[in-house]
Amino acid sequence: MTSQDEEILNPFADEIEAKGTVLADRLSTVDSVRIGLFSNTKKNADYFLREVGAQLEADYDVDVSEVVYKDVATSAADEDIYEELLGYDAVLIAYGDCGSCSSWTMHDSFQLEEAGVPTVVFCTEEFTTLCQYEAENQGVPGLPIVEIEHPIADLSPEAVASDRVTDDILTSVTEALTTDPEVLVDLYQGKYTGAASSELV
Amino acid sequence: MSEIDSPDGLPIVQPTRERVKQFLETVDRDPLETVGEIPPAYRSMTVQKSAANAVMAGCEPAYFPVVLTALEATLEPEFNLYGALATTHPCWPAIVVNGPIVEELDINGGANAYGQGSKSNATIGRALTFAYMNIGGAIPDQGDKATHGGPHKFGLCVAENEAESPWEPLHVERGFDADESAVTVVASESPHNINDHVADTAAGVLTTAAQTMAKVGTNLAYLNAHGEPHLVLSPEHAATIARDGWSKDDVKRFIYDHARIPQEELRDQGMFDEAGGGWPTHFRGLREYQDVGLAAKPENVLVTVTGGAGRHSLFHPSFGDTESVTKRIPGH
Repeated sequence: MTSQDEEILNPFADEIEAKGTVLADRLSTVDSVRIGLFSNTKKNADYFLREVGAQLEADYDVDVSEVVYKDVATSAADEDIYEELLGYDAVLIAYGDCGSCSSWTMHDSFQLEEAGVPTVVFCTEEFTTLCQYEAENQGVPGLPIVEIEHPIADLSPEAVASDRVTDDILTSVTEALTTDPEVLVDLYQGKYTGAASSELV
Repeated sequence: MSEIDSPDGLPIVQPTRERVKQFLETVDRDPLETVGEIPPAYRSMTVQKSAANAVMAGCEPAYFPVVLTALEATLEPEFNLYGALATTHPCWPAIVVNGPIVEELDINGGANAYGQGSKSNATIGRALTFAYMNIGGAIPDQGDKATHGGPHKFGLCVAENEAESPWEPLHVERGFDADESAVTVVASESPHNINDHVADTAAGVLTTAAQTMAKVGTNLAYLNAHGEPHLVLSPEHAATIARDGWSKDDVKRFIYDHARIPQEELRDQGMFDEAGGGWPTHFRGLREYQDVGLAAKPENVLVTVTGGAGRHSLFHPSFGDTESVTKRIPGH
């Protein structure tokens, strides 16, 4: 047996190559834009989105869509849903409040960003780490993930609207839609995971 | 590289170059070939890295073709590994092995097959768990957000008890020859017991099974467009059913028809959501007196025969939004 035979091989993934951001160009303003609301079907996600949309319409000259639903939270949206959402200037997606729904919500967001539509993903505080871990490892470290208080599923629709849609969240949404992608990387990379780009291995 | 820490808390075997080499000799593959990208981080796994994880799990070299084939099977899109590894639900890829390799590797499909006592059962499943953790980043509370997890996440691999099954084995049902060896992977929970010591008819045994399976809290009550309720019959229960002349298709049809939940029990429970229409898409339009099934069609009911003596069978609830995958083990 040689010392080479005794060498321990790396069972972990190799370091990921630094990928450029694929974030879509952001908007110059949220005035006069059409914003799509996209529910992953988790309970009350539609009520949450409608309240965010209503408050945006109250503060800005925006046109907010009816809620678009995908079939099931635990898989990607169908292509026709993506095509419908590509007709908007930006899309708000709600929400990650479990493991598989958070993951596939991130996947949906990546598809829309790749296709040129800026998105914002809402996620409860228990799952922001997972969402950002996936964003960082799938080459989109600047993807804006806006944190909302957990839990959310055992609230009434009225409580979701009144308790979870805060001024800070609305500020984060408009910031995420109008801030240059390079700046978003600075703002969001490691925000929940604490990871710097050099640690993404 | 210095010594590797254990991913699961139990002692491991260090993946030295010499040990990994022995594993690589059991498959006709380029060690640096990429097998696929493991979610949730979607990082690349080579044949060599999968072998290193199998070494760590305590596998014998001869187990590696099973491990590699099972890993590849879970990477098929319909398996939904991304969802299965990250979910709060307590599912994890479970492996059923069929064919001559079962005897060659002494994979237990008999008494206590789901329990302790067999090196191949214990380590083949563990190798998958290590690959998902070390390469995919499915680390508890990081890339794996399971609320509780479960003991099957240390690794779950069993054989089908083909010798004591009255029906064709799972891999033959899925188009392979009986003398070929294959793995089937299923994203499912730890199994739940089905006790029936008194029924002496097919319908009797399967009524007990259906009643045990159809419960409001199962993912299959809501996410069943693709989901496969997995019924693991003991040889004794299977023999009782076969004695009445029932085929495996008859078993599936019975479970499809009878493992159902009354609408009034589902309403406002589980994952019922009035805003989303309430029922799983393919069960919408039911009349009020019709019950909601666990499978979209009879063929989606998965039936295997495993276990030893005794009048207990098992039910593996599935993640729901996942399809099982069967792959032949190359060279076997």
